[in-house]
Amino acid sequence: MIDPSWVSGLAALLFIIGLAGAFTRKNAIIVLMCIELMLNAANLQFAAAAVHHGDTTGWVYTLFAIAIAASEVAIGLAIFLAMYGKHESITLDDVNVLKN
Amino acid sequence: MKFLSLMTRMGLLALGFILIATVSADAVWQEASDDAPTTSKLADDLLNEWGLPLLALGILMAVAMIGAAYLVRDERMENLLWEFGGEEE
Repeated sequence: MIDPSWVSGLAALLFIIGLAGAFTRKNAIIVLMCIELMLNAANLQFAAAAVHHGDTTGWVYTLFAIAIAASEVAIGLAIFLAMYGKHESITLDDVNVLKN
Repeated sequence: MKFLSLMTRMGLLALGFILIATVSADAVWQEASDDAPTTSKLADDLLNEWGLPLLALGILMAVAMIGAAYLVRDERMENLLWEFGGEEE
């Protein structure tokens, strides 16, 4: 079995890649993908900890996080569609007011 | 602005190194448990210990799907007419 510390290191690396992408990119879909990357890094960490401690709580948290991520993606893509319909762009610089 | 951007990138890099070094440290992963979690134990926990949060999660997902469908509704005339049972002229 893979040592959990390696899985944990991979999760940290994925989290940093997601964080860097969310900070530096301007395309809304890429930012959403980077947020998903961070969520999946956290899931990986939960799964590694669950196996290490022999407890299912980490798996339960992972399942919950996956479900919440699915909801978030559905809402996010719907917002992007509405945004594109109004502004004809999903560049985050073009959308700077939380109105209409 | 370029300086701020550079500092952000440097900070992210430093954070990455610190994070990887911290979570990969052997001290964090000592005292491993002998019993591995099983899928039947997971199912048991989900339906007993985590039953109420699971129900709340289902409601949250249903609300999210309804919200997403509402956000992407198509307001073209033919769709509105179809929805209200009329015919387009």
